[in-house]
Amino acid sequence: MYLTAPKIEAATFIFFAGAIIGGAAQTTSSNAVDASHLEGKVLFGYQGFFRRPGQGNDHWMIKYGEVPGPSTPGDGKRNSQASLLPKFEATDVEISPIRHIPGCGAISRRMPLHHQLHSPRQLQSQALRIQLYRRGGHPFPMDAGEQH
Amino acid sequence: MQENSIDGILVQRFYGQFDDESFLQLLDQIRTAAEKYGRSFAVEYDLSPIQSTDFSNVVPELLDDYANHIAPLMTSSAYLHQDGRPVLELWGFGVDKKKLYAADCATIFHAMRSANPNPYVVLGVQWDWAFDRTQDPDYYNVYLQADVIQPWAVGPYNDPSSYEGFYQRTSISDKALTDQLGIKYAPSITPGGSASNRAGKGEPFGNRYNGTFFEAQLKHMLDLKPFFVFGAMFDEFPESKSLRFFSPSLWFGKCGP
Repeated sequence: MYLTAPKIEAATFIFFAGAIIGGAAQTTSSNAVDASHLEGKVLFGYQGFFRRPGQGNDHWMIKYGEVPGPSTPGDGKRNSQASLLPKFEATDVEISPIRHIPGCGAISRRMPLHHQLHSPRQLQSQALRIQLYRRGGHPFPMDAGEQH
Repeated sequence: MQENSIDGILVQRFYGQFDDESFLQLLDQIRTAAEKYGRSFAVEYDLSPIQSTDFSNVVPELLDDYANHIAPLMTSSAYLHQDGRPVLELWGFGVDKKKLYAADCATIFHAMRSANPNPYVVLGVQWDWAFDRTQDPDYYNVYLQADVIQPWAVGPYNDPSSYEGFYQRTSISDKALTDQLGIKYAPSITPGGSASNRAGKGEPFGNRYNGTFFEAQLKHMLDLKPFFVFGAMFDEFPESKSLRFFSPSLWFGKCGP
């Protein structure tokens, strides 16, 4: 799953601070996180995409390669998340120079461009990428349970 | 997550989908993988689907799910705790007041707070929660009972400039108020996003500004030294808010107090 996310091209790196905040966060890249306290952690919200790769993926997303359809009134969250197009994140990558936050050392910051998908043509293009991605046999980044 | 030094996740469990077997499998997978790779996790009930006009089964369903599906996870060494209690987030109080009334928020809060095991409650509230002190005291009185308040800041600002104003007007005072109240403060931050990837929604509602938007929030949060930070979200691809690539691969621990 997310824990086995394939390393994206070198270009997809980042930055960030975690333990910074409360000063109590003691996580390092190699040590286990101490789950006995919340203080000082950076936690990400997780929704569980890709949990059933190849097996009814339309629960949270359209079938791979489909172009998003119109919203269904009243279907709310589930439908709004039905137009999942994951692959573009790994391909549209912005590379930023090394930056510095005062007193915090260097941060390599490279981020995906998510905000440039505006036209139906672009959406179709992204859908095609997914099809190709699937045909290539690559695991989706969050195919967690399948691998463990 | 291990490779990128991400502390962990708060798993969103949506009310109304408790019977989804695939999500139960996912929770087990999260537990197994978190223990294996030394990451942490906790559960966040997303209560936004609840409607007070159809409230009769809400609390029994929540308690049943908590007892049968969530409590067993809390025995994991990877499950987040605070002050010896398992962490549980209740998200959605005051977010849509027309759907979920204050009295029902209070009912949910007290039921979950007294559940076994007794959780350490993070309350996800609307960004303008502090205004309820005068505008909606019934909601505000519920907020006051939380262990941690997590204002939802996805929406009130959508670019670095408007964020600066939000920070100056809201975040600083939120931190001061929670300090005064003796409640922990855990802000949410967002990388921006886009509605372009959502079905039937052609207009972008935000821009990631090549990362500068997120960076601006991060810098300010370092100054505030909150209890913890909630990044929204790890995998919300449809709204282009995914933080999956924003891994804390480089640490700057010396930024602490």
